[in-house]
Formats: sequence, structure tokens, C-alpha cells
Amino acid sequence: MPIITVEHLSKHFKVYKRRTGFWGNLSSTFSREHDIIKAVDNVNFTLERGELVGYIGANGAGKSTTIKMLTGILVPTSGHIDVMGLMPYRHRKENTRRIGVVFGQRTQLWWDLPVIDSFELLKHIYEIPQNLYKQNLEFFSELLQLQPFLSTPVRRLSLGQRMRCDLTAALLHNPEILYLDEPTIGLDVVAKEQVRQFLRQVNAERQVTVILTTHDLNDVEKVCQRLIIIDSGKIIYNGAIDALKKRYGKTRLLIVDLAQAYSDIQLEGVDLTRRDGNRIWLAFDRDTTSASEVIAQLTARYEIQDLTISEPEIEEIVRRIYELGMH
Amino acid sequence: MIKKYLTFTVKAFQRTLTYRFELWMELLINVLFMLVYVYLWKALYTGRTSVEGYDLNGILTYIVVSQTLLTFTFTLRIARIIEEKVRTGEVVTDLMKPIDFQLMTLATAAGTSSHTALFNMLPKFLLFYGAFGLSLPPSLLTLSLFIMSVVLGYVILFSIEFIIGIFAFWLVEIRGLYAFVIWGLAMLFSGYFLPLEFYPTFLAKVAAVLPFRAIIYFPTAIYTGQFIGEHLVTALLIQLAWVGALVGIGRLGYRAAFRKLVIQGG
Amino acid sequence: MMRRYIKLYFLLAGAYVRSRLQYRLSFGLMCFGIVVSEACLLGLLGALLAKFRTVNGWTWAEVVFLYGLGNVAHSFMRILGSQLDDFDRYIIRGELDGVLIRPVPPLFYLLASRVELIHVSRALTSVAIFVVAFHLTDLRWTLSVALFTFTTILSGGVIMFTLMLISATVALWTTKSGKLTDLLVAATKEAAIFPISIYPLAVRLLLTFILPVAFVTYYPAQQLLQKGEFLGMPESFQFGAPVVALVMVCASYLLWCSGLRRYHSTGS
Ligand SMILES: Nc1ncnc2c1ncn2[C@@H]1O[C@H](COP(=O)(O)OP(=O)(O)OP(=O)(O)O)[C@@H](O)[C@H]1O
Ligand SMILES: [Mg+2]
Repeated sequence: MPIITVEHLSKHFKVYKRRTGFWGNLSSTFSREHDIIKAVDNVNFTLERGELVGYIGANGAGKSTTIKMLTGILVPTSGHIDVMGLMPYRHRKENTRRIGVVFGQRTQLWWDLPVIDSFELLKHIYEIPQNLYKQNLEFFSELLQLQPFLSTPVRRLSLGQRMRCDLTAALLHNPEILYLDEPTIGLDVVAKEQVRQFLRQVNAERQVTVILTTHDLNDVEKVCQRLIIIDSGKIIYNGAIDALKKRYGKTRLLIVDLAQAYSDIQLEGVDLTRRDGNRIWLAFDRDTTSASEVIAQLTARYEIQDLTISEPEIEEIVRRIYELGMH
Repeated sequence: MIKKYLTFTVKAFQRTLTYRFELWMELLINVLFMLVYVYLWKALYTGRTSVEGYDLNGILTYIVVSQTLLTFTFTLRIARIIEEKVRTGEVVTDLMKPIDFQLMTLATAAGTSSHTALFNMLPKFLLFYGAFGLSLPPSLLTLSLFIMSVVLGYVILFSIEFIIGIFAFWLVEIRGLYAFVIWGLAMLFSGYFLPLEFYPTFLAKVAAVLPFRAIIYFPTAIYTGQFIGEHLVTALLIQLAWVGALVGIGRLGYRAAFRKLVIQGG
Repeated sequence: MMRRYIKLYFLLAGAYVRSRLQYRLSFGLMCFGIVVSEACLLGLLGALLAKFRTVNGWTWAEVVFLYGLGNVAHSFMRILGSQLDDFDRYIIRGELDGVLIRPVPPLFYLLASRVELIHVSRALTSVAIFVVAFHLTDLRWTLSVALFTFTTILSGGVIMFTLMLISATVALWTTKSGKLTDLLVAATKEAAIFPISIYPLAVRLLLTFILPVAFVTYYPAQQLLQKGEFLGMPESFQFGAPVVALVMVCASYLLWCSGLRRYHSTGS
């Protein structure tokens, strides 16, 4: 029995057209036309309890909109959402007690108050029993090293510190599902790693189901077991990360430093994807062309200084999917 | 050069156009507001012909014109906008642009306000003008001087709000200052509620040394023909002097704010 | 259940007050500003009344009485409805999302999260004005008068609060309503502090049935001051304030709910 079931989920927004020019603007004071944006378009997926899923897509793909529907902030235009047997919007109160939400862009903490005050308030809002509250607070402040700034006003925290506090705030009431919309936005490498480590641990030790959106594919690669890719409101991939690599990572990349900048490079079965001075990037399909063939061709025609071969990073794969779509 | 700032004006004007429901509702409530005062004065004048040199028609004209001009005070909110920009840090990008912050703010405000003037103040005024048979300015010259005085009064109001807004760089929170100056002092001394001739001597004396009467009372008195000749010229000169002084203080203020930002990083 | 909400209300309101106290100077100035502006308006009204003595048969003490009544109701409403002052901010910045993920009724959560103590200064000023006006008219405190006054102020506050709620709710459709709320609050208060007999029929009907602020001051004052001016309306209107308050609560709450439904389906 999946913990989240999403069926034929769509969300359409009406956006009013702005007419251009002075008179156009003036006339929109009296009447307006609109367009329909299909932010989420017939989406289906399920999440099992305890899963850790990455939800990615380009800007405006529909990630946040999906999360808002899952959390009960938005009502779907059509389709069905079942979260732990509840309809998030219809059973908003019931649902919110059992989930935790973090919006990376905006803190849910009390801006001018010490961090600990926010936690205290949440204790009352979620009616967390005192002993559970204490236990959780200890657990999280240990894990995330919150102690040094528990009594600092939120507005004076660094982004990384604030994110750690926001994560704690979202988990104090022992939610079964944790929704994260861009939890690593704006964080440095170390802070990002800390968040990732934390999510893995929370997921493993507390059996919290986690769904996170992100633009940093390292998050996905290091944290998630499964990946859902959404593009223009439609799901274009849903499966394990390894499978994605296998399926779309047939391309190999050869990075070559040439002795001089040849003006024109011709090789069979190979795409020149990038060049930067004397360095060129060559992509080829490992099923039809072998690396040794390519290298042989290269050395026959050009003088080579250095050469590396690499598997495409998930980054590269996703970039190509965003750019070219799924084939 | 001027064109650069005009772009801000046009942009602000267009932005305001998007909120059309608000516009109609605002107009409706504004009309209610003015009705209250018009009927109050009608009730007060029953059985009287002239008080402090105003007959019924004169006082109604005064009230409608001053209440119309009061709309600027209600809707400008420049101080609050600057405060918000300081709080979100957006002001840094504004200050780094190769343009004059004060002029840019004025240009933006002018855009919003010309929209207000066109879609709120003018219809409101015409409605009351028709319904209550008010008078027009005695001559075309007076009308143009009135418009000039309105513009000067507007710049004075803007500059006061701008100065309040600049305080946000130091105080972070300026709602208190704003409430005190705009809702307190400006309301009391601008003459929106009744002509300054009706004020007790002491309050009238205080009003005379403050800039607020130049925002509403001066233009309105020019419109109604209360100020003529020498009196009128003096009023315009006083307005000009206030414009100079307040714009100057605003500039000094924002230069200091800019220095503070550069040195302390906000 | 009830206990929980009362406690939560004070906790959330307390958190807001503590946040605000970080800006003490602004807080102090704002209190001062409000007292000054209240005093100013009263001063101007005084100047006016001193010159004209009566307004449509109402002595100046009676007018100040109406003024006080309207202001007391208004200021208590402002304390409880502080959040509605610039509610559209929540929608423009998308902060309403953060409210909707809490297991608490959104309206309750919103109102509790902001209680401006500065309005207390306004309330104190207006209570003082009211008490003085009360004694300037020939009224004396008796149990029934006190009870009636109390219900009137309570109902009046509720009526003004619901008007404010309605105009703030508009933001759920238009995303912007800040100026509208400011204006509506100011206009209705202003309209209520003068005897409505000075207005033409259309405005009286408006203030009785659509923006029913006449029930905040004018009609109850008929009972207290025994003016017997009903302007063709039923005499029972003098006791109508609580009923109107109740109707307004229901109407504004329904509107709020449908506004929230709309937000739920548009996200803006
Ligand atoms: N309230 C709204 N009204 C109208 N259109 C909206 C609204 N919210 C989102 N959209 C539109 O729906 C689409 C999807 O937006 P969404 O915020 O879900 O994207 P996203 O995947 O989260 O993007 P990002 O990575 O930039 O956060 C966008 O085209 C956006 O402009
Ligand atoms: Mg997003």
C-alpha cells in the first residue's frame, strides 16, 4: 500500500494577458483576456513508505505546484491525490499534523525571535507532548549542532544555520512524510553535505518518507533512491537513478588536449560537443563505437597531448534531457 | 536623461493598471468618504450664510478639492515602500544603479500617482462638481496656478515621505515615524478637514511654520479664490522654498544612507 | 478544545508582541503618533463644533459621545484585527502557504499571529474621550446603561471587524487590497461618528444595510440619549447591534471561506 498515490493529477492556472503599449494597458483596466498554463499535466506516481525520492525539473516545470497540491495548499484542477488515506486539501488539518514541509526559499520560523521560541510555538501548534518534544529537540540539536545558536534571532542566522533550524521545525512533531522544496538552495558545499547526510539519517532511522525538489543533482545522486523528472508539467522519467544512467548514459565522453588548435576536426561516429582553446570534448555511443577506435582515429590525424575518458555525470544526462527531451 | 526616468513613471503607471477591481472599490469608498464631509458641512451651514469668509458653495468647493487632494496622502506610501526595500535588501540594487535614487523614486511615485489622479481623483471630483454645483476657479490663470501649486504640494508630500523612508536605513522600522508624521501631523496641519481660517489661533500659528499646509491648504485656497494677488504669489514662493529645503534634506539623507551602506554593508 | 485555542492565541500573540518589542523606538513613536492623530481629529472636531455649536440638532456633547462610541469600537477592533491591516502582503509574498501547512484554522492562526499593542494607545485615548463625553451628556451610569453600553461597544467592534475582514478577503481575489482596507476602515469610522441624519436617504440606507456602521453608533445612541430620531426606520433598530453583528460575522466568514477556496485553487 503506497503512502502517496497520485493519479491523473493536473493543475491549470489562468494567467491574465497584459496588453502591450499604453492604450493596451489602458484597455485592460476594463477587460482582460487570459491564457491557461498547464503547470502540472496528468501526472501519475506513487511513493512507498520509507522511500526517499528526488523530484527534479527545469525552472517552471511544475515541481513546487505538485508539492503544494500534495501538502494541501492547492486544490488540483483534476485528478486524485491520496496521502495516507487522506485527501490533502479536503482533510487539510488532519493531513498537516502528519507531514512536515520545508520551503527552501522561505523560512517558516518566527523571524525576529530566538530559534528556540519558534520550536516552543510549534510544540503548542502541533500539540506535541512535552517528553516527545524534549526528546526530539535533543536528537535534532545534537545531529545538526543547533546548540550554539538556539537563542539567536532567526534573522541573524546564516542560510545554512537557518535551513538546519527549518528542518528541525518541520520534524519536531514526528511527521510521516517530509516535503522539501529546494532545501539546499543557496547553501555552500559543506552545508549541502550536512543536509544530505541528515536526510539520509532521518529517512533511515525514523522511517520518514522524503520527497525533495532540487536543482542540484548531487542531492539526488547522494540522497535519493529514486528520481522523478518533470518537464512542462509532464513526468518524463520515474525510476532508479542507475537505470537512468544505464539507459541514457550510453554516451562516453572523451576529453582531449590537442597540441595545437586545429581549425577543423573530422572524426567518424563522434560528436564534437564543446571546445575551449586546445581542449575538445568528444561524445560517442559506446555500443556502436569503441573508445580505442576513436583514439586510433585521433592519433592518426592530430597531435595529442593528453586525453581522459569519462562516464557522463547525472548532471550531463539531465541537462541533455532538459534540452532535448526524452528519446 | 529625462527619458530614463520617464521609463520608471510609465512602468509604475502600467503596474497600477493591473489592479482594476481595487481601483473601482477604492473610488466607491472614496466617494463615501467625501459624502460624509459634504453633508456634514451642509448640516453645519443650515441657517447660516457665511462663516470665516466661506459661503456654503465656497466651503463645499473647499472640502471637495481638499479631500480630492488628500487622496495623494492616502495612496503615496513612498516611505513604506522604501522601508520594505531596505528590509528586503532590494534597495542595494537600486542604489548601485547609475541613476539618482531620489529622482527614480519620484519618477516611480509620479507614475502611480498620475494613475490615481486620472482614474480616481478626476472622476471623483467631476462627480461632486456635477452633483453639488461647485464652482470652478475664477479664471484660467488661477486654474493653471492651482495645478502648479498641486504639483508643488505633491513634491513636498513626496519629499517628506522620502525623508521618513530614509530613516529606515537606521531604524529598520519606520511605521511609527510614518504614523506620527503622516497620520498625525500631516492630517492635522494640512487643512484637509477644514480650512485653516477655522483653526484656533494657536494651531493656526503652528501650522504656519510647518510644511504641511503647503500640501493641501495652499492649492485649495488658490482654487477657491481665497488666495489672490500678492497672497497667491507668496503661497507659491513658500511652496517652492519648502520644495527646495525638503528635497535637499532628502538628498543629504540618502547620501548618508548610501555611505552607511557602503561602509557597514547595510 | 476551547482552552487550547485560547492558550494558542495568547502564545502566538505574545510571540508577535515580543518580535515588535525589538523595535522599541518605532513602537513608542507609533503609539505617540496614534494618540497625536486621535487628539488632532478631536481637536479639529472641537474647533468645528465650537464655531457651529450644533449639528442637525445634536449638541456638541452628543456628537462627541457618538465620536467616542465609534472610536472605542473601532480601536478594539483594530487590536484584534491587526493582521487585516495589510493582509494582502500575505498573498503577494506567498506567505499564506506557510499558514496553510499548520493544523490550525487559517483565520484563527492569522489573527492570533499579529496583535498590535500600539492600538492599545488608541483604545485608551478613545475610552477616555468616551467617558468624558458620557458625563458631558446627562447620562449616568446604572447597571442597565452599563450593560447596554458594553454590548453596544462589543457588537460595534465586531461589526467594524467584519467589514475589515471582508475588505481584506478581497485580496484573495485581487491579490491587492491594502489601500482598500485602509480606506474602508477610515471611511466607515468617519461616517459613523456623525449623526446619520445629516446624510441623504441613500447614504443612510447604505450605512444601515450595506456597511451597517449606523448600528455601531447612531441607533444605539437613540436608546442611550433618548433622541427618538429613527428617520423612518423601525424603533427596534436601537437594539439591533448584536443581531447585525451576528449576521455580519456569518456573512464575512462565508466570504472568507470562499476566498480561501479560491486561493486553494489559484495559489495567488
Ligand atoms: N499561482 C500561479 N498562478 C499562475 N501561474 C502559476 C502559479 N504558480 C505557478 N505558476 C506557473 O506554473 C508553472 C510551474 O510553476 P512551479 O512553481 O511549479 O515550477 P517549479 O518547477 O517549482 O520551478 P522552479 O524550479 O523555478 O521553482 C510555471 O510556469 C509558473 O509560472
Ligand atoms: Mg519551485
